[in-house]
Amino acid sequence: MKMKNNSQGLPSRMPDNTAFRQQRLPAWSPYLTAWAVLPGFFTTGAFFLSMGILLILSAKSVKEIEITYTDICSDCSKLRENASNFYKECTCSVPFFIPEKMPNVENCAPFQRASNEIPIAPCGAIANSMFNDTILLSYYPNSTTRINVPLLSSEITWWTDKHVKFQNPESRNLSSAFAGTAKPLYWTKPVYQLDQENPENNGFLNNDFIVWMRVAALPTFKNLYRRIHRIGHFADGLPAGDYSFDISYNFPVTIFKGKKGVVLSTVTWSGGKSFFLGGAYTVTGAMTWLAAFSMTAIHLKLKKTISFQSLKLAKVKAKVERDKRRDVFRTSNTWVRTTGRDCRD
Amino acid sequence: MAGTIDCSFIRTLINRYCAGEENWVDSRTIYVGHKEPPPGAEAYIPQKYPDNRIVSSKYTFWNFIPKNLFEQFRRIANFYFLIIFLVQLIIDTPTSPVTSGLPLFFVIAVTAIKQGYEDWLRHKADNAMNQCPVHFIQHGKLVRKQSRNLRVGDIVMVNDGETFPCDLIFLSSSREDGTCYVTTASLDGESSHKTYYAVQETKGFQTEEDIDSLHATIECEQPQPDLYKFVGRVHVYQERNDPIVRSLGSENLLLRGASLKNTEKIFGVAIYTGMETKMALNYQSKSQKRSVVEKSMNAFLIVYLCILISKALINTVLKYVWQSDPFRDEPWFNQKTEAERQRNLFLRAFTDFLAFMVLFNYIIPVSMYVTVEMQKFLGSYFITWDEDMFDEETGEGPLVNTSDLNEELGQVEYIFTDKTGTLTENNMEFIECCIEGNVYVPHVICNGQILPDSGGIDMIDSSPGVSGKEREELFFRALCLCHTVQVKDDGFVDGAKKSPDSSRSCIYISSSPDEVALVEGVQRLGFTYLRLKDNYMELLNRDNDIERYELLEILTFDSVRRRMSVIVRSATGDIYLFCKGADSSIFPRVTEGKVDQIRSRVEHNAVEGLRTLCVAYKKLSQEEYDEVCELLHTARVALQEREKKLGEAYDHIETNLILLGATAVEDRLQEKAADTIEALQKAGIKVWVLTGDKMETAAATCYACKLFRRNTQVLELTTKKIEEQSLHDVLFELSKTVLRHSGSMTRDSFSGLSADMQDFGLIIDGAALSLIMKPRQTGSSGNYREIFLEICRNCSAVLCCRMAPLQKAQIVKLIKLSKEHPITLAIGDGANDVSMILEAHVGIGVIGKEGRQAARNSDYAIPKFKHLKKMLLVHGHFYYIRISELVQYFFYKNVCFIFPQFLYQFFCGFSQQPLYDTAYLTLYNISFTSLPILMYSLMEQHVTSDMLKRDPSLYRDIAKNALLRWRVFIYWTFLGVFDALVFFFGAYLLLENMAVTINGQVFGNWTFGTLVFTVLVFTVTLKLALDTHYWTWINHFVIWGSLIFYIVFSLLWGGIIWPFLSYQRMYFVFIQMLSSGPVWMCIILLIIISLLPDIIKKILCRQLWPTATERTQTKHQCLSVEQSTIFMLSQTSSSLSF
Repeated sequence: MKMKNNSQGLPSRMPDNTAFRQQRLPAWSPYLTAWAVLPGFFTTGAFFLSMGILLILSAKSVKEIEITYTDICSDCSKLRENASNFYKECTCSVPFFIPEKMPNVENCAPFQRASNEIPIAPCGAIANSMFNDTILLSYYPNSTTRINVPLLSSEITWWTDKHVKFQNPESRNLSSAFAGTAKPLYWTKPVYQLDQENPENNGFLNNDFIVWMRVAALPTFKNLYRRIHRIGHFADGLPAGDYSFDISYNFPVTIFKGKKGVVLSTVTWSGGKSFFLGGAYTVTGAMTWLAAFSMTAIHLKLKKTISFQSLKLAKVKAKVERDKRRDVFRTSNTWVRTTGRDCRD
Repeated sequence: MAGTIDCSFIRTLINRYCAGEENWVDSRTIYVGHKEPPPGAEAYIPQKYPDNRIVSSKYTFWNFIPKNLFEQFRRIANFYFLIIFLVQLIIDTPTSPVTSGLPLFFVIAVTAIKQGYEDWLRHKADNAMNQCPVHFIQHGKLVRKQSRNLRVGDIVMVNDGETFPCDLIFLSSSREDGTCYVTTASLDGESSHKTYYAVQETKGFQTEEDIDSLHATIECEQPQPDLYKFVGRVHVYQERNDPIVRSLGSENLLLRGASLKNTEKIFGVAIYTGMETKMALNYQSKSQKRSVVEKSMNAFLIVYLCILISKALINTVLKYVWQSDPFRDEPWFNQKTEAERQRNLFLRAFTDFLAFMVLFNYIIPVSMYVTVEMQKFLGSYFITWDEDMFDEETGEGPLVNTSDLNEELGQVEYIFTDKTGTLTENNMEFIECCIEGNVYVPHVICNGQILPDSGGIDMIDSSPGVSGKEREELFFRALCLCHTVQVKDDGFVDGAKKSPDSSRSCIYISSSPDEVALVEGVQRLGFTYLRLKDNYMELLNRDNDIERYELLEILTFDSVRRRMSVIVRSATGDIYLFCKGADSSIFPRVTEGKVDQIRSRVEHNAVEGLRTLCVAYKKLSQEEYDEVCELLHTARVALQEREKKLGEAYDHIETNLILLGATAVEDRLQEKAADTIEALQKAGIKVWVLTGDKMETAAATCYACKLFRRNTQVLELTTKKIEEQSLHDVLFELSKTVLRHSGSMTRDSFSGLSADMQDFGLIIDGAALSLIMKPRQTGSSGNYREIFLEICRNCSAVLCCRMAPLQKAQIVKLIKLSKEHPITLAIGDGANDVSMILEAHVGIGVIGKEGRQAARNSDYAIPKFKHLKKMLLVHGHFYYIRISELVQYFFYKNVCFIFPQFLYQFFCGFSQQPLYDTAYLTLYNISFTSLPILMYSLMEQHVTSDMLKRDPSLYRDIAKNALLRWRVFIYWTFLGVFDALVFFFGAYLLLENMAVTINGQVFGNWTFGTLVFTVLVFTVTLKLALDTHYWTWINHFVIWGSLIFYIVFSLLWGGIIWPFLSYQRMYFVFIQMLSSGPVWMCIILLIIISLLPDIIKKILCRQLWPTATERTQTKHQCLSVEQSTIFMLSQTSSSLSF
């Protein structure tokens, strides 16, 4: 009909009748009613609970040993508090015991409480404060033998960092490439001499440097230090027994009341030893179920009262209807009577 | 609004009193054809007039950039962002200036381009207008010139169909009677042809040579924007004789923008040119109205500004507390330079404060303003597109003049409506007339039968005597003569009404439909008005003879006098004055006639809802007539206060009348008017009818349209009642009645048995209202207004009759400024409603028969009153829901965004380290979370529009700005803070304690930020998804699309070493993050935890305290499921019964 009008060319401002313009696009209208949501709640709860338990179990399987050596090496700490002593060497040895075998050990990271790393000039301050303790791990199969645990510094960085992002200046040898640059103020060695054993691991491509340059987000943090090279005694990880760390203590922390330490840890699919995820999942799952149950209860209770009320309402309505009908009946009666009289007249 | 009125008022006052004797400020003198008047004429100070260039554009090529920038930065929000940007440029801040500069630049650029384009279009239109050719008379010859070169005093020739190039005084026309027809469609939308009259003395100058010899000056007032007012005086100098002085009125003034019709050509002299023409003066935009939502938005903004400042302050203070330990202030790896140590502590602290401000400034997003503006602008199209509000009969659809008030349509508490043309059709039909107590009905339908009466009259009462017969004919003649109806012989005039009598098909046109109805009614009673020719009115009497009357004077109608008169001389030389008008304005002036009978009939008709007019006459002797002429002439020539003087003269003339009879005209109710009013009242809106009609008529209409129902107890506050008692007593008595009742009602009002509820209706008339409004000296009675308001508040419907236009605005203002500050809406169709349309929060014009003035001045215009229902209940409701969610959501998502940043400062030594990468900071509001909310705010329908129409009470759910109350706002803010805490500490706990990858590699700070940001984007988008109740494909597209866009963008942003960036901190961060299982688990967990409380709150509220809307939603869902079953059942039962 309307189409016809338009085609006849009437001077009409008739708007186009599209579903969009008339706000009548086909649409799905979900409402958050209890019945619609409850199944979702129960499934989410179940999923979360099972995930939580799984995560807790997997976190439990992680073996982790944490040794804070700031206090153990207190002599060294004191030495480092004075800036003039930066070039004096100081080593200290930390013995410890692994009660059970640590299978598939990945590595330990130094643990420290650094405080202020204000990246005003990013490459300056961060690089300047690079962590420069060296840590050697030794195993004592018996009281006399001492085996150095072979540690790998490869693959402790992101692959992309090592191969794409960080690059040394192109030159025949590194020292000439960095000629004309000064080492950062608090470094003992220039950047091209960071690793004397492996010439490939120097300059900007030094693994420790790359790890350090990935700035931690929080004041308390762990960085990956080394991986265990699984050969010989350590093919299946670290066997149980006596160990010690030999630490050359260079990085001062007590000046800003920080602490540092070493963590030996295994890693599973869910990362290191942390019950946060598992706990949070379990708690959330439980809460969801609790909410779901209470909502069901409220819903059932309300339904009962509502149906009761509607019953009452229906009764009232019925009564009103009945009254009305009676009224109609009465009026119609009167009407019949009057007409009757009219007829007689 | 008030401000501008005051200003203009003061200006006129200043003009009036400061100018004093010297007229030259108030008026201008124009030499027609630039000819100096003969010496000895009045002294005259030459004035400079602008040329005829129309400049509607705002900018020129040179000043566009500075002027446009200045205008844009005058907006407080833009200015704020500019300051932030400048701070970022000047001091060393954590985030790059790009983060705030880019969005600001984007907004400014888009606005500038839009305004620039609009201005370019205006320039083009201006040029076209300024360059169009105009015919001048120069030295007796016709010259073509560009329109912009026209000067005041030039004589211009305009041909048929052309528009007038400036405001002209009509000198002469090619029609011998010195008239021309003009349509002012582009000025006020009235397409009917109006007649204008040439100056009497100059109408003979019909050729170029003639007109060049004209020697005259014109004195007139300085230009003023009122299209319908003009006062002037022309002096025509003739050789030897004294100059002839002739008054000029608006009937002599041809306005720029109007065009000439049905007249070959006219000559006129330019008096107002260029920007001084009345059309240009009317360009000035109306003052802006602001909606409640906007006001709440500004309040929220201030809260957020306070939050922002306090956050920055807290962080600055804490920073210095924290740095009071020297090892923290200067760690060994990061020692300060000497210059840094020397810096003034306060300067440093201030810089830090600014830096924190910059860091947190995103909490007030620039994009919110853009989105709100876009939502309003685009959203208003849905109104214009609405098919339901399109009137096929007139071919008119709704118009949106301002889109700023869309959501205000959902907040209306009071509706003030005009009666005639708004509630009623303004389509008049002559019903009956009463002559000396005898009732006559035109021969259409009487008692269900069509009476084949030859004369076409059905006499209900006894037939009149001989003198009665005379009176009867006089009455009909009076109706035939006393009007301003024009006759159109050509059929293509819009808006005209074809006479039903096909044999004499003439079309009557008048600005008042009553007059057309009367003339047509009389035609059916045997007297046909033929035409006005050479000042003679011709009419065809019952014997098919043509009678000619010379039209001597017209005492025009106005709404104050409420009557009009004509003075005519009959063929026999008798001079009659016929007067017709409202009963209240006729009866006091009547000295003879069967007043009582007619009055009773008039009252009877009024109760029936008919519009009544009384007709009276008097015979004038020649001397009396001369006196009248003299009186009128002096009044008309007066330059100042001419209106008033004319009114006095009219009052003087229209006395000692003899009452002839009365007419009754029916104005049918608009279709569905009653239904609409009922729905609006159910929606909790109080409907007031403001009309100039008299009480009985208006009351009858009110009953007919269900404003008053049978159980309504009608209270009266009328002059009649006040005459009996004092105003004081009446008011107190009424308030006692109302209050006693409402006191007893409050208990039951929630029981839901509203059917029994006694409601009150109030009728008040203009005189009583002005008594109430009048400020009193004595302190005791000063609060009549308060009592009156109290009464009104308890009445469901109020009828104000006998209202002057200004009183309508006054009453709107009274309610608007009462202590609850309710939102008012005024709706009307005529020029007399403009004042109240402008006064109310929302003004709606009905595109009606009385021209387009109301529609032009309104915020929205609709074709019919019934469309108001959909406008408010559906569109208003939707817009309000949409924009309130938009506003709340915007604040919510930015709390979620910025609060983690704030928390992070506690973990990075208040070093202003940003948590998120620059790209994320910049794009969060622009692209990741912008489209879903914009689309939501355009598409959302929480209930279907049919439901909203069917159940008007849903409108109450959003009354009083319900969705933007402080409680709701605080809920949203706390939800935002909660979510932000979850994001931040969730990520914190995850990354603090362990290596999260399978190979033990670690994540840095950017991964931490990216993790928080990812959870943030997902949560915020899914929160909107939870609130969406209307999922069209567009919603699906934008919601899932922006999530996908975020992921794709992040992959790309981190996947490449960007060559032009100085840092590569995001390189592979996102991809590395996603390679970790625990991060995935954490993202899912945090999203669910953030959303859960809101979901639970929603479900519980819906279960325990459902609003009407929510009940409807649930019911609707159940219905759609169960409908098929019910249908099946009923089928079974019906088959059983057969």
